[in-house]
Amino acid sequence: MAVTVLTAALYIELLRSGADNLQRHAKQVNDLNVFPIPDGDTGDNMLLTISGGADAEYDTDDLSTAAGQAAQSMLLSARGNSGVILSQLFSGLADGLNGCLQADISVFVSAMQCGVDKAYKAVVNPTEGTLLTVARETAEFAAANSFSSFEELFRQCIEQAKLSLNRTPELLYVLKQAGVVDSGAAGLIYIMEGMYSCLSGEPVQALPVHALGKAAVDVSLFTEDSILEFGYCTELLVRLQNSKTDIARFSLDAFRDTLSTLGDSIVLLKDGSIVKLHIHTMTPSKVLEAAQRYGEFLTVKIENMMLQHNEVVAEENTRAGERKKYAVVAAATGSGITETFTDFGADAVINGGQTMNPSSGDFIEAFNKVNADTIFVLPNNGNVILAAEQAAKLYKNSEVRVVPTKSIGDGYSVLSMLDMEGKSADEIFSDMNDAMADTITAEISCSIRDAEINGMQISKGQYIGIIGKDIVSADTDCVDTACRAIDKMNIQDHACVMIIRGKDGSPEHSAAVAAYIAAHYPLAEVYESYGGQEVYDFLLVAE
Amino acid sequence: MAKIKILTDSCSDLNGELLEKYDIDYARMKTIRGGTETEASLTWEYYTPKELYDLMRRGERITTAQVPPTEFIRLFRKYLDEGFDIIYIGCSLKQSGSVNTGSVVANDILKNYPDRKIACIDSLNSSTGEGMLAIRASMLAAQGKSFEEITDEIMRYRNNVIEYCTVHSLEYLRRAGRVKGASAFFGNLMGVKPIIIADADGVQTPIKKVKGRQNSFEELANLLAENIIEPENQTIYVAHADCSEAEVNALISAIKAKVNCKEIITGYIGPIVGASIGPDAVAVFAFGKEVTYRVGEVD
Repeated sequence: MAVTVLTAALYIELLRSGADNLQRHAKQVNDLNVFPIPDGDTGDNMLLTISGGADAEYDTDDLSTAAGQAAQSMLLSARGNSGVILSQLFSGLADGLNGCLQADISVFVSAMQCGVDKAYKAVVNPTEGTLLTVARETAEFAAANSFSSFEELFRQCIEQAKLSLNRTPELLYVLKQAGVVDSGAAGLIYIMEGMYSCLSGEPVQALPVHALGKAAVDVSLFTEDSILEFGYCTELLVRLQNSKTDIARFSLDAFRDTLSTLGDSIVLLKDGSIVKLHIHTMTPSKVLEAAQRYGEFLTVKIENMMLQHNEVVAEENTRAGERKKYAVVAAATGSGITETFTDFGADAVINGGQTMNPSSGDFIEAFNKVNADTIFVLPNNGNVILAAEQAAKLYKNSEVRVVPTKSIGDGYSVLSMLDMEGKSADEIFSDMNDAMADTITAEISCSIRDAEINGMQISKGQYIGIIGKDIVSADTDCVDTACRAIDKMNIQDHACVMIIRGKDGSPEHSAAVAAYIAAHYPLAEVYESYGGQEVYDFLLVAE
Repeated sequence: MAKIKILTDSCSDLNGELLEKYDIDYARMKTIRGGTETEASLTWEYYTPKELYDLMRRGERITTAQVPPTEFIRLFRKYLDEGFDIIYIGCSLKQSGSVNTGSVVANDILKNYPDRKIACIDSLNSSTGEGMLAIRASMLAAQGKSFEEITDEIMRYRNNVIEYCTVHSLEYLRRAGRVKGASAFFGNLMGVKPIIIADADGVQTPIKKVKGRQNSFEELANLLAENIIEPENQTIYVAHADCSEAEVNALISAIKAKVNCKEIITGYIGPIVGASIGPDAVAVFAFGKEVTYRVGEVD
């Protein structure tokens, strides 16, 4: 039976039904939180707000009174920005229904616009791509069309609202970055769906929220004969379990070591007992197995990257037609160092494969990929500087500036202080040179043969410490070799020391060196990190 | 003409002494831990600063809730009934929606007090940067300035509050969604310490990087010295999130070496700003040259 008149009783029922449906989906709304730890509060806030109206006692046959009362209750229970905006939508709606014992469709549609106007007024700087946008576009659609019943009005408005919701990532960059639609807008749609189900007598057929806002995947990109080239983009949220591991002492580094044998582009974060893991791997099953040793999954996302064009494109730094002003290409080896360099803003990190020294050709390939007007290059030793300069001479599509970084430590100093906002190429180049000016790097490695250098006798298998071109220490004990090298680095003139552990370096040795520095150079700040590099068990960087 | 009451909120980081001295009341926000809400008290009625920041150091998530409408209704009604007009100076709208909510409630409530005035002002700042503006408003009220004179002056001097803040990591702020800046400032920075300011729109944004904590204190002092106006007449405010006494003293020494000011008042970063910025943050505030930098859209 088509409903064409809105009474007080129906209004209250719609409100309660809307609140009900939001309650069922509040968690999904929370999960649209832009930061990927599911403790967002938009769903809860909107629910508390609308419940103020839904849970109130009503004793009136007058639509105007009921709407006004509901709005007042919602204002009192409003929580958070989305809650306050929601309460203003209902407050404006009540203003539009003022004086009406009942309302027909056209009066209600006008009142919707009043709601939108009041909500916009309540916010000093209204942001598009949010709840406000979806509410506005829905009200505009309603005003531009005619409907035979309230059911039709709601059904079509919900359809429009969902289209509007899917557009929110285009309007609000942080949504696009996080790959979600706007949570407040999604909350509003759940409320509307609850209302529709009340009118139509149909149970709510809400789409699961994660399906909203995702572009359809083109499965033809991977056929029966395709070869898996890029692997799977795998993202896991893992809840560490007390029964499986000591949560407080859970070592991300050790886990990262394991993962680095399974894939790359590793992002690993720990927040309390939740671990977020992102990896590109050919063997997701092995990653899942490794993760399950420590806990159980909260969410799992595995996507064939040949279908996920965006990720692959971003990873290769090729955006056809999108030329950047500046880019940084760094030479480095070691999964940890590569990750750190990328985090700091290196657009490409090349490791030169077997010889660990990239060729000029390798650099040119990287220059093509980063596609920028000015490219800053950070080599990691003297040989690489030559190859980089050679490549710079040959490369005509960009201005290439080679920074004289002779070690990972130099590269680290430059990248950690990287700040290219609003600066000219000359300023950036000058800043880079300044950043590395006082940096001293010591490399701790195992000697591959007997030798006598600088009056020092070195046996094969002994640890040696190298600063620049000089061997400054040698000992059978790794920690002693490192500490002797530290003593040659003028730590007292530096603010920070980084101990970068290589593939063969042990965390215990790293801790021992850190303790030595703390004891002898108490004013220095010491940071330990995992570099994963071959050859050098430890890199000690003083800056 | 009615007397004027100055109000602020839980983000203003004014300690009990200052609140009393300048007769300022504040709208309470809430901190939330494990689903339980607690009023965010600037006089630390429910937990000590050390308790809050130690929880965060141990990895516990503390989230926050802005001022609910009921709290504004309570506070506004209290002072309206006592015969005051109200000037509420609130946290930057880029950090909290409280000023919006205050405006909505004020419009509604003034229907019952037709001869009264309530102004809800976006301070464009937070922590003691916001608190300083409330103190200034209070001093103007004590001098007998009119409602409009006070609101005009606060609106004019909002952008003259200078803030320089440093942290070990921007991750707390990022997680709370309360910092905006180029990606080069995020991630595991280790020895790199960002220097954060409140930009012209009231956004918290990092503007430079410094190597080492001690150097970051030197930089705070440098920036303060470069941008402060008439230091000899000014009080510099230092707010910290449970830093050690040694660190606070080191910062104060660095400031005294570069700036000749009337006095330096030190206090804690309150529960709301603290929950967003994280332990061991420290910031300096004063009136200085107008802030014109805007971070805008960044990647």
